[in-house]
Amino acid sequence: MTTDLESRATAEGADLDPIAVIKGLASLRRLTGMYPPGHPSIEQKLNEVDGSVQRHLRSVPMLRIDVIQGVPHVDGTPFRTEGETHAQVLRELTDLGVDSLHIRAGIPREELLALSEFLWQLRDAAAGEPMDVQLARRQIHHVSLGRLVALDTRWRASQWPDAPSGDLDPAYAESLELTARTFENVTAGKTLDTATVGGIVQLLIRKVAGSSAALSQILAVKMYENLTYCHSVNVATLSLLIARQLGFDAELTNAVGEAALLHDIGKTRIPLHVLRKPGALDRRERKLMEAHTTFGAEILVDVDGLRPLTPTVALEHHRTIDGGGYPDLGPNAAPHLLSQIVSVADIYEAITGARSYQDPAMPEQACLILARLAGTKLNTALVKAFVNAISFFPIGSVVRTDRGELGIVTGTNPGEPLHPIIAVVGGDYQRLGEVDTARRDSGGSYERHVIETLRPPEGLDVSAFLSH
Amino acid sequence: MHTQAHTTDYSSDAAGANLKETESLLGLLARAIQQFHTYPAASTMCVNAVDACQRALVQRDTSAPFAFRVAPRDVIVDDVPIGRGSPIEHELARRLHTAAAAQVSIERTVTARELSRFCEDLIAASDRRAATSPLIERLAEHGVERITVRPAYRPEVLEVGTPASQTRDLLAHERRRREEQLMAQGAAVNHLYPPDKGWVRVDPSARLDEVSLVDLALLTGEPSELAAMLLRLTDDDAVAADAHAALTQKFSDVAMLFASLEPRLARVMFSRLARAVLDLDPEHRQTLLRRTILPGLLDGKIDGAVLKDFPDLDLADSLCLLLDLETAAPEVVSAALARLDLPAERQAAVVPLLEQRMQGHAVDRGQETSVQAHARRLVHVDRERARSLAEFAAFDLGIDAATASALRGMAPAIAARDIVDDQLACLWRLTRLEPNPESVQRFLDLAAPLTAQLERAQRWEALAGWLSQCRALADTVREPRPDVADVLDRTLARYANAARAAEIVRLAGGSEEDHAVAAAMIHALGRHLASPLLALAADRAVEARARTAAQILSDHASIYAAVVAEAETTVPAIARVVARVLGSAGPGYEAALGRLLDHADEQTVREAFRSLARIGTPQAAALVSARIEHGRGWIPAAAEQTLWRFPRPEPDRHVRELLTHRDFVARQPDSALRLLERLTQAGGAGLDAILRPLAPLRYRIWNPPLARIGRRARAMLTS
Repeated sequence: MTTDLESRATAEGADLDPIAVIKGLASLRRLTGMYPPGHPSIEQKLNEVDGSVQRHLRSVPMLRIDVIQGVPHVDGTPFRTEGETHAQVLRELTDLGVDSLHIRAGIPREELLALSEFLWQLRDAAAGEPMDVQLARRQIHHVSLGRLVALDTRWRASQWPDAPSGDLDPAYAESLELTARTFENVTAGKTLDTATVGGIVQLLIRKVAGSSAALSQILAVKMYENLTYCHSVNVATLSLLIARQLGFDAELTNAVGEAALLHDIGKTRIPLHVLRKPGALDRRERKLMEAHTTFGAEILVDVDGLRPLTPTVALEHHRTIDGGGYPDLGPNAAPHLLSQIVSVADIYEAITGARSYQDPAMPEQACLILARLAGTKLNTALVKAFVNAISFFPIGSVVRTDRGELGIVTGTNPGEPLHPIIAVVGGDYQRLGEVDTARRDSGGSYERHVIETLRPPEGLDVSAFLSH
Repeated sequence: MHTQAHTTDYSSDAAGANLKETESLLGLLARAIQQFHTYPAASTMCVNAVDACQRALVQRDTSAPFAFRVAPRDVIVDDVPIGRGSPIEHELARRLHTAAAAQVSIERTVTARELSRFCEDLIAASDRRAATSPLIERLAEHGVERITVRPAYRPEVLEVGTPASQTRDLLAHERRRREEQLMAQGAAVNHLYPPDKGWVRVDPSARLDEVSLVDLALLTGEPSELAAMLLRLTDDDAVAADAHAALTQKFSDVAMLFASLEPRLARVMFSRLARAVLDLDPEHRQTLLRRTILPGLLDGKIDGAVLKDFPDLDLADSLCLLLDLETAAPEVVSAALARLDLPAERQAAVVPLLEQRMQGHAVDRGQETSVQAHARRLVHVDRERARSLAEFAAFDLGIDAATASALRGMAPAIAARDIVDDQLACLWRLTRLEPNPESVQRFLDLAAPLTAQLERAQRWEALAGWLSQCRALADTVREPRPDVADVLDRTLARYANAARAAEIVRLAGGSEEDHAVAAAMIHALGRHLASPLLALAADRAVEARARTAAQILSDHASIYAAVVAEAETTVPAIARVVARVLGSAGPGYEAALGRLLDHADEQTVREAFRSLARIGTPQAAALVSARIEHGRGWIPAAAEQTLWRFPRPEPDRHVRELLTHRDFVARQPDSALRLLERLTQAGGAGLDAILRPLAPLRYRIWNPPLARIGRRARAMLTS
């Protein structure tokens, strides 16, 4: 029985007409000016207003009427307004500087009457005095009046170019161009061109992954906001580096390259405004964004001529070895080793790329993040293989030593990933000579340590140092 | 009150024709919704309404999706409001408005199923009296891909109350400072949170015309409260989330907002933030430390700065959580401590605490024997080292023998995996995630050649695994996604053909492993296997196979009985198996067995009797009893024997009843006498009421069997 009453009260409450309540309060005010206290007209109107308010308060502890951009909301739900009369009623309230009327349960009739009198005296109310004080003075304790101010959610952001600029390694540039075209076709609803994909993978294996210049452009901090196709080419190249560390044969290397290149193909189905949204995603947007893994696998299972594990990698590349990540693939769904390889490359690539409100991380910082994720999210052996494959300071990195020297990494020392060979740069960006930071003094200590990676200063031509 | 529909103003003939077409299409959609509101979804009215709507969509001149915006009382197409006062308003616009939809886009290729689901989901989502999930989520859950709904932002009112005068001063100061900063940096601006969603409720006396995120941070002052507000801006159901969860989720944003304040003010706020973190329940605190704060500290983000305000003991405990990372060496703690850049006296206080904990941690790592492990136990926080370059030393990233071996093993491990298994796993996972039955059908079709490969390779266990997964999924999604469950069920039905049934029978008669595989397939294919198995069971040409098939049917009778009960039983071999299976299925199939009691084949009838006894219900006993009374030839005797195999008190009850039937006693006095004797032997008590009418029969001396029963009754009465 109680449940019935409660549910009825909820239903009635949901249909409370805020206009009628506001209008009722205004009428009360007029009537109290015309008739003596206790007059039947006042009582009748008060009964009406009190009736609707109390009915609503049976199901909720507080009645909240908020007028947002001219639309009244009852407890957060918009209420349909009907024509100019309604708009006029709302304007009468908002012109007083009140957009929000909250009434708590337990309000007596007298307070509603007092509220109706107070509301339309607001213009004459004591300026600057808090509203709750003014209300309390009139013995109104169950009502709160407020003004609604739009929350300005703008935030300073960095703007990055959409793609890498400057002189790119020709093979790398070609692979980017081909991939961009391939992805555009998929976005337009065309079938994935497997021949082109095969060509790109071969290009990456034969030229890009073996080119110091290309690798330095991929491994270094990226001063552009990664679009899907750039990211895909970079992840594919980095995955190929891991594959080389693992001694994969040609077939397996091709499989890694193809899977990594297409791992984010599902993003072609995500609306651009969500993909590039600089701020926090809401729940729906997050879900949509996470769906790129399933979208990708769905696209790829339908394509003939791809390697069998390519859809699996697209589906699993955000799954972690501890069973976390997305999508939810059910229990005992450890990601395939190929997916684990692509995950490592994907995370590194994402961290070293720019975001609209996050600067890109330096390569060594990205390596530290990978190290932190090893064992829980990422396969430890693969992280170690990757870090050792790329070294902490990729060739072409601009670094500073603990002696205050500026240097450009020109070579690495196997087994000494922290101590590369650097070309020391002079004040006018002249090459002063090459030093091996792995060299030790007579006491067995290193002569130099690299202490940080720097963004290339303007005017410094890194490639000139590399080609020396 | 509108009594007549608004007529849309068509400015030119072409545009007018287009709008007329649009209005007509919207009208059809509204009508479909109305039908779904009135009639069951499967009714002809609903089906016809959806068909009409779909036809109209296909007949449009353009292939672009049909899109319209939602206003409270009409829908807007190309900036023209349509439908006020008509069913378009009442069934479409108002419902969509209530369901918080801002725009709807319907693709030309939309299916009837999707349109039907849209109508049903819209009706459910627009019912304010029922607690329902949002329209968009309902559509996604039901796999509606070709109808896209863009949500209208539901505003969130954030209560900050009356700001104190000091807070107002701080606000003013911060605003000036930030404006100067922004001017100096000339930075670009983006929305960190959705615009138009958050509305700050302030006291009318507060002279605030706008509130920024930083202002909000100052106005609330409490990190947990601020986090809860930020969460509400991104998650519609965040009202239900507790403060602990909110702070865990939005910690980074809160820290970022505090960090943007003037440094001294930021320190105050960070100290509050530290207190809020320490006040979290242990589970949330650990999660936050592990996932956000400690990684933030190592990555040089502002998140880690909150640790500076932790008391020494809490700081030491928190930093030592880093040692749980797999690749972390003890130096990771030194590196983290160095990043905090604490004053010397605090460092001096914290370092011994850290060392103490790290020693304990090293001992907990177990009895390692390597030199490296021994070195781990000799841990020491080396402040100088941490402060220098070597943060990398905090992680053990060297390729040791174990890692090298693991890496060497990866290529063979990948090669050793079965590609077909991996492909099927991928398809099954997609099937599991996919709410759209058409896509599910596509994935299952793609799996068919792969399962055929398994069959050709006689990899029955793998095939059984696939089928079992499909069955389990069909059972799981039966309630939330019935159409997907139907697709899965239909696919499984296709697998249940005669050849596979024969293979299953072969496996069931094989080794223990084969038997287990057969059992898995039997369970997966369910009732669909009944008919092929029945055919095999009746095929006496291969006797052993027939026996095994019949045994399978009996062993899994509960699965097959419903299908078997409907089987054609004119062939005696089939009828016998049917009788046996129904008997094994238990109660519920008495009527079907009763029909078999009239079968011409004696073995079938005897099997049916045995099955009825096995079922043992009162209904089964009644059927047997009826055969004792009315059966001909050998049947009453067989029925008599069967009746005694029923559990007590069924036989007693029916025998007593039969003995009260004078017709029965007169027609079958020998049978009646046997029943009476058996009843007495079974210890039947209170027989006087039955015996008394029988006793006078002893005078029917011209009918010796009748006289005998009378005499026996008389004797029993007198003894």
